[in-house]
Amino acid sequence: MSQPLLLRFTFLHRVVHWVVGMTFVVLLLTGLAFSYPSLFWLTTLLGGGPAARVLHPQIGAVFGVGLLVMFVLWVRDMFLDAPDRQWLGAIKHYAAHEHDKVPPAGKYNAGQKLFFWLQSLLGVLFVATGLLLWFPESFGSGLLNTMRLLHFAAALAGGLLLILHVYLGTVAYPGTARGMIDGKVTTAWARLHHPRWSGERVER
Amino acid sequence: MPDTLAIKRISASPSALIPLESLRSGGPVYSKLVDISKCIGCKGCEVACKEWNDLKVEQTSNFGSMQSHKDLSSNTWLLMRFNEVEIGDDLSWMIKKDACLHCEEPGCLFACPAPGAIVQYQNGIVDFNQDQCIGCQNCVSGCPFDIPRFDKETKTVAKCNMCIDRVEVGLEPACVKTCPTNAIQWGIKDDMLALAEKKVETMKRRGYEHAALYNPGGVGGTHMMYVVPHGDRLEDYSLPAHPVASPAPLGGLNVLRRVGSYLLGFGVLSALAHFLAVGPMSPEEDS
Amino acid sequence: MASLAATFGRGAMTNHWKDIKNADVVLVMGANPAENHPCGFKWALEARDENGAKLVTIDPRFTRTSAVADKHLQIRPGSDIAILGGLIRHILTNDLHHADYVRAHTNASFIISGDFGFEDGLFSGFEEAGSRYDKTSWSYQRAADGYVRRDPTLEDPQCVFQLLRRHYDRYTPAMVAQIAGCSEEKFLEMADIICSTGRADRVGTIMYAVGWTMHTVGSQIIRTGAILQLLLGNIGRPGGGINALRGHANVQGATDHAIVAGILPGYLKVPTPEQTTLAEHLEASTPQPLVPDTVNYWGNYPKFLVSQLKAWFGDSATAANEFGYHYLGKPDGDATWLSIWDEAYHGRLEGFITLGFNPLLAGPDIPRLLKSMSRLKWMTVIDPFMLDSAEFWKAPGMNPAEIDTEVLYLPTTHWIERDGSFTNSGRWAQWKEKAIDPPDGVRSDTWVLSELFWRVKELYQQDGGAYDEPIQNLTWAYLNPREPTLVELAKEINGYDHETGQLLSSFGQLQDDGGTSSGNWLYTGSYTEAGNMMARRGTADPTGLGMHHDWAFSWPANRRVLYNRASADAEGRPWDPSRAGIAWTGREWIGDVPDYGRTTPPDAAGAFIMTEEGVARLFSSQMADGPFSEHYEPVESPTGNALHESVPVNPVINWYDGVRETLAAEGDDFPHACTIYRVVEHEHFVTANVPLLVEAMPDFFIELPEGLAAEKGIENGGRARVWSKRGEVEGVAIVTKRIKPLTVNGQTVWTVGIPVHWGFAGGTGSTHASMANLLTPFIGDANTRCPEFKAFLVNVERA
Repeated sequence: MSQPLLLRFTFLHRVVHWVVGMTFVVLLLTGLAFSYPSLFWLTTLLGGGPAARVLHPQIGAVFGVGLLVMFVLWVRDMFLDAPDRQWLGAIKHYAAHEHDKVPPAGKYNAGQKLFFWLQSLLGVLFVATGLLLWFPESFGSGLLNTMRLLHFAAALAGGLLLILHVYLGTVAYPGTARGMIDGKVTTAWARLHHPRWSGERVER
Repeated sequence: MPDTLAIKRISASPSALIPLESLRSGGPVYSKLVDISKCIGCKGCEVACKEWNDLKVEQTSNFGSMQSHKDLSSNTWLLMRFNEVEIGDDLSWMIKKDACLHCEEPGCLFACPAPGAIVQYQNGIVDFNQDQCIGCQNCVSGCPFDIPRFDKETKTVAKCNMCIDRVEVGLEPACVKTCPTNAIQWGIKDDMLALAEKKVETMKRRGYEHAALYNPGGVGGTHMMYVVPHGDRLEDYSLPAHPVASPAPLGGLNVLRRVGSYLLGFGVLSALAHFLAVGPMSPEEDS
Repeated sequence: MASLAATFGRGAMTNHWKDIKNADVVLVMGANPAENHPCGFKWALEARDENGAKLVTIDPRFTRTSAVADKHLQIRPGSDIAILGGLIRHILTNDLHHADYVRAHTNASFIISGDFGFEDGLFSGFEEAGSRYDKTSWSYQRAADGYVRRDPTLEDPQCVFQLLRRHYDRYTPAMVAQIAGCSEEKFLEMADIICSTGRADRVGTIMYAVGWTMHTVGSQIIRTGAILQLLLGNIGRPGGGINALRGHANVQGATDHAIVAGILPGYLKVPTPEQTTLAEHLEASTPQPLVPDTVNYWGNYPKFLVSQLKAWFGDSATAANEFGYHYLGKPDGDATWLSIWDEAYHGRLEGFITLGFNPLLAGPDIPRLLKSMSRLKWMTVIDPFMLDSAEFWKAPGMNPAEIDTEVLYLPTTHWIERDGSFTNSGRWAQWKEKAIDPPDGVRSDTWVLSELFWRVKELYQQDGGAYDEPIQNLTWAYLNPREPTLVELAKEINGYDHETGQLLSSFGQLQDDGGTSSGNWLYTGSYTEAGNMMARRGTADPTGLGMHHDWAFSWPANRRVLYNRASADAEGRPWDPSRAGIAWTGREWIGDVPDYGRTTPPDAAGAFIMTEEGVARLFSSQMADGPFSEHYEPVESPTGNALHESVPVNPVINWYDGVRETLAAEGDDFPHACTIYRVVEHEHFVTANVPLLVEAMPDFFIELPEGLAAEKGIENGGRARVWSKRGEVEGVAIVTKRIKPLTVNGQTVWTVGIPVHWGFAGGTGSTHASMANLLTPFIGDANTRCPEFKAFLVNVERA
């Protein structure tokens, strides 16, 4: 008998997530290709160097729009409350999988909320610097250099976040990824990771 | 006949970092020599450059100078810059041919991420290959002389190629050919260095005590050299006093590259370590 | 040119381009060769670097030539004679002249009439009524034998040398500074350099161009330069000379072939109405020797003229009809530029044909020219490009509805689309090949002109008409008489021996009995039985002085340096053996083609074979405005004449009706001196059609000194308006350090500079703008009537 399921993400949420996620991966890989001669071969993903150079900012534009929609869709749930602060205080227990020592999380735990704000911040940085780099002829080369460095730094931070995100969402916490596939999670998963949210759902 | 187009370095390739002179040698190494004291600013070279390289005519307008364009562009690879400088009681009208200097240690090439987009030949020419260019403009940052220019239409970067198609068949570059006062000379670099020495002496005899050859060591020397009457006033000719092949912005990029590879590696390894340490965390199945 | 002929006997650049490399001092004044003659200018730089020469410029602006010169002196436009007169005084008071040269090769020792004098700005013989001089007193004293009296000691108070000293004694450094606006110190620094060549082992050259010529005293400026060079012993010597730089590739050739009024090809004279017979014309035009020891080569005038008539009228020119002398026009007026347009202005000119020229933009006072053109019945413009002149009725401010002039435009080939010869400044006639084909349907100049000739001739044949003989008898013996080739013309110009039918090889073969023909005696030898001498490209240089006798053809007789006999002393020894023009071996002259018989001994005759004196003239009665030069202010001047207040301007210039009213008068507010010039990026108006050159120098501009711009609130790159009494222009302001304020007669004078290129028709890019000649005055030189383009008054404001 199958377990009872809860709807965690609507279709819209899932689409937006994957648009942002996939574009970010492509952007990260081509960006790395532009930054590391040894990774230049990655540009073949988009049809070679010149094509990658043309497509990178265009994909970046999709990424930016996606990120904006994502922000609108998610932002209501992302404000930290008192339990979140307690959760943060117990983050090392969370990392150690000491479940009983972690204050119960709502739909999103404080880490996810911070992740959201960080990614939004990086998003702004990406888009702002990326736009300048997209139309470089309009700006002086000094400014462009700074922008290029910021863009690169943001990409590295974003890459780090991506690793964390993928790791936690897949192998570290099995059952999580399904929420982004058919949108559903098991009640058991919900009770484990987001007890306050599962409680609300069950009461209703 | 030696290969006039033997390659020395290719951007974003191992050869960019490891000079291969030892493997290929024997071809002529050329240089232009610009004698600023003989330049009358006629712009013949500017026009010849456009004519030979079939560069687009740009709509210019006088901005209060004898200078035609405010700046170089992807269609203006050579620009005569005019600068009026008062030195004591005397006026010096500094007129300088601004174009790629073809560094022996080309910062543009070192900065370029696209393999083959910038090629340095044994003969000294640093040539941009627009087919391979990804338009990232790292070369613009990499150039200590602020020479390469991005083209909005082609989304690639362009600069003087020393008329490589002429040099290949034994001709001098178009600017050299057209110079009416022989202010631009062309030849084997060693010969040009000897000529420069003579010219510096001539200038000193004429009272320019700071006359000097401009062949900056910070970029390994250049394949367009200048003989400058006021060697103590390089900035007035818009020539950097101490150019280096890897200027500051490029340094920042290099630091980030290194930090970045450590950071991402650290991220992956940490995740792996975490997994191995605490494993996955799955909910207990409801029964 | 008038003044060089008056001084040396020939009006042309004495030396040649490459010869400039041999100089020790190169004075560039009234010229900007870096800008206007960049290819030839390389030799000045070669002299500077390889010969250790001093290259100096004297100019109202610090030019691109000044940028590479050793020293620059800024002067006020129109003060050239003051500067040069000051240099002459500097030489004479400090004994810097080349004494042996002056004694041997100039008329310094000639004694002048006791009636000659100069007082208060006027030479003796001034006739107030006609604004002209009676030159009787400007003459030599004669001895009993009829020849001129001479004093080899140069001490006779009436000898030329002493008169010269007295005349220029007023040009003290203080006076020079007061007039020109420079400092005494800077003038003297310059004088020390320029006057350092009055020695056998040093030689200096002058490069000048229309910055000297285009003044009301233009000819006299050149005269002063010539006197200076004679005193320094620099004429006839390699590395010396007074070198007229010609603006276009073929100005010298055009001049040789009588593009200027008053001469026939080869500098022969236009008959006057009083000369009713050939004999009378020849008598008046053939000079008689003034001393026993002169070659007096112009004594051959009859041979040159008769051969020319034979070239023109062929078999119709016979001894019986005075070789067609009567077919020549004998104008009683002059046909100079200004006079032609003055005739048109007053409605006395019906039609005008212009060929290879843009008269509207090239002449002074465009507002007046526009009125003149509007009063023509018809105008034909023959040119490769649609010119502003052909569309003068479209000029700003013109109302086409009010203009009845019929304008015909005939497109012709550009020189790049045909072969032919160019004669450069150094008198080298160089044959060129056609480079590209003309566009479809475009005809050559020779086709157009032949067609014109045949159609006029056919009209005469059909309808008859008054005085048709010159047309009916003009010889037109070409293979295709509807389109002669330029080779045929070149041969015709060179000339034939009619007995043998062979091409002549030297003007020495010309006859005055009709046995020879030659279109232009100077070019005899340019196309001989041995072939086209102008097409020769031998680079051998046995003298090491860059003479290259196997390269092209240099008139006269392939001679590379004119008056080269003067490069050697009385005994025929070169002044400087390392730079020998010619040298006497005891049997013959070696080196350049001698300006003298090859075997004529050095003491046989004077060095200047083209003068009846046999020497060069420090004192010359051939000028209209004085045997010596004198500083006169431009007709529009910011100041009075510091030398003689009562005679401020050249007293013998021709005032056309109504011109005085177009000049700034007392009370008008035109405080600034203005001069116009060209820039290297453009060649007059034709390059407005070359996009790359328009890109290199796109817009009409106004050069303003920093101080004046600040005073008027004009920013660099902003727009300025400049106006004179005649018109106004507006353009981008180039605010520059290269023009400094001058102190003239105690007051501050600013100079404004304006380039001439740009019109309103044709062309590409942003060339449609103001025209410098909207501002210039309709007044000309007293001798040549060459217009005053270089010094006038304007006011300036921010636009």
